[in-house]
Amino acid sequence: MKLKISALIVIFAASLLYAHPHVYIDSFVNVVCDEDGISCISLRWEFDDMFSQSVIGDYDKNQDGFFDDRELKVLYSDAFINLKNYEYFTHIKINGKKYKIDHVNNFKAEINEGILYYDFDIPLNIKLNTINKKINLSVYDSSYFCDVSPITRKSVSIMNAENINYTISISENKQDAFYYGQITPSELILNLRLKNVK
Amino acid sequence: MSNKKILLVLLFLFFTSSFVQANPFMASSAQEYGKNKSQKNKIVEPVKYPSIVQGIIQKITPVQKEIQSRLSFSMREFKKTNSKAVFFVLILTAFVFGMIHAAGPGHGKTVLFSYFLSNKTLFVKGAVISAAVAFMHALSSIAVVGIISFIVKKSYLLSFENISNRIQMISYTIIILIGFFIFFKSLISIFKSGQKMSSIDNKEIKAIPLVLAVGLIPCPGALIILLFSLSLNVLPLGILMVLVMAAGMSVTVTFAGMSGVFLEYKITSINIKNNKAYAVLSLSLHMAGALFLILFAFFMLTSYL
Repeated sequence: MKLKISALIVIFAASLLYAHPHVYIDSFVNVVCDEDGISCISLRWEFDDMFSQSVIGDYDKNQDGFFDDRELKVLYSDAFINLKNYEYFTHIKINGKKYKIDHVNNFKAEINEGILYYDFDIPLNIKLNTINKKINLSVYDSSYFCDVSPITRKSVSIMNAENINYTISISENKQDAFYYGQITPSELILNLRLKNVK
Repeated sequence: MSNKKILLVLLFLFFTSSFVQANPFMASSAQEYGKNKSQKNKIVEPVKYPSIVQGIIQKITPVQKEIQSRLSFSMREFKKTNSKAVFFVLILTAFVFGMIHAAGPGHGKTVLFSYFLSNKTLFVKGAVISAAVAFMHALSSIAVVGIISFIVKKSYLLSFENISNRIQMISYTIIILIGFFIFFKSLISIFKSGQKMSSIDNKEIKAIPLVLAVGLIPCPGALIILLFSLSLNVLPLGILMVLVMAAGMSVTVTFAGMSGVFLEYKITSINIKNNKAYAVLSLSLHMAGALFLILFAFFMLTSYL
């Protein structure tokens, strides 16, 4: 009997936890460098079909498959900027210290074959020198309303890094496990330094 | 089952079911998640569960994503083809989607579990009450979408969030009141039992107010299906899918409710020869269930204040 009860509890416990996300996001990370270091992290989010249609139905008022400036403005204030309270789902550490994201730039929303995309930049303006700097980046929604796809080699790119020596690795970010420690986000680890200091 | 295990189950249900169902994208003051201290604490102080459970969770999310994607694909297909085979697949997918969806936090599971723990209920009646909550939960979403379509006529997602937040505040207030009612009723019964055993009032408290309070909270999963069907101009199909989804949800919600009925039954069927001791145990359990109900509803309510 005890075994049966325990089995029921385990099944119930597991089923309680795993089913939460309502929105699914495929996230792509682009690290944008300049001559002195890293200028920003550009994120591109691809939403699932159902959420895409819900947002498009609400904010592409003239149904032309394109968000004009007015539509984009409403969408930004109704269905994007609240993410500030969620740190834009983006968690960055520089040399082990948490980097607080105050604002994001260049927000764009796009419709492509019925799928919604958000693009925006997180300004970093990190100056590099010849000593290694370590940047850890994870993208996840700690409330787990949204499931963000794990970072993979294919979802990461780096731009304008001619003057930079860098290594990229991806691992599990066990330290930031969320949703009662049940979901372990993936983590992009960048080690960077300048090739030559002017 | 030891008291310690029961307590663990209760705590587990409480913590795993109490995430606020707020859409992070939607600019509604009630869901400024990062500004709510209690919610922040939930994130930084996670409860660690066995890695086997964690493994299941990590693997099941892509499965859920796939089910949702198949559902949207099949709805598009059915619109194009009107095929019976596609319709059959659609019904089956919506049912499975409902079962899995209701397993997530919310959907009245914790409230039902606590209610059944605080009230002696027959299994069949418990199942009917649980299923009623699941169906009301889905019907409430249909009603809210209807209200937005005909009255509000503004952004569906944002309006749904706003209306849903208000309904949840009312619902959790009613649940707190129900919890207090059960608590004091049990407390009075304990005092009475000290005077005369036969006067112990162990009758079931009517579930209708609870079904209404919990079921009124609209289901965000149902909303997504309804909005999707609106965008495809197949709202009747969307409503049908939501009803099938509700049938799937009722399986999971009933399972949660039945766990409460079962636990109450197991605990109160412990062989205690002393009638008075039995009565005190039974009523104490009911009071604990009621307290749990109050705490849970209070915790949820404060998230919206």
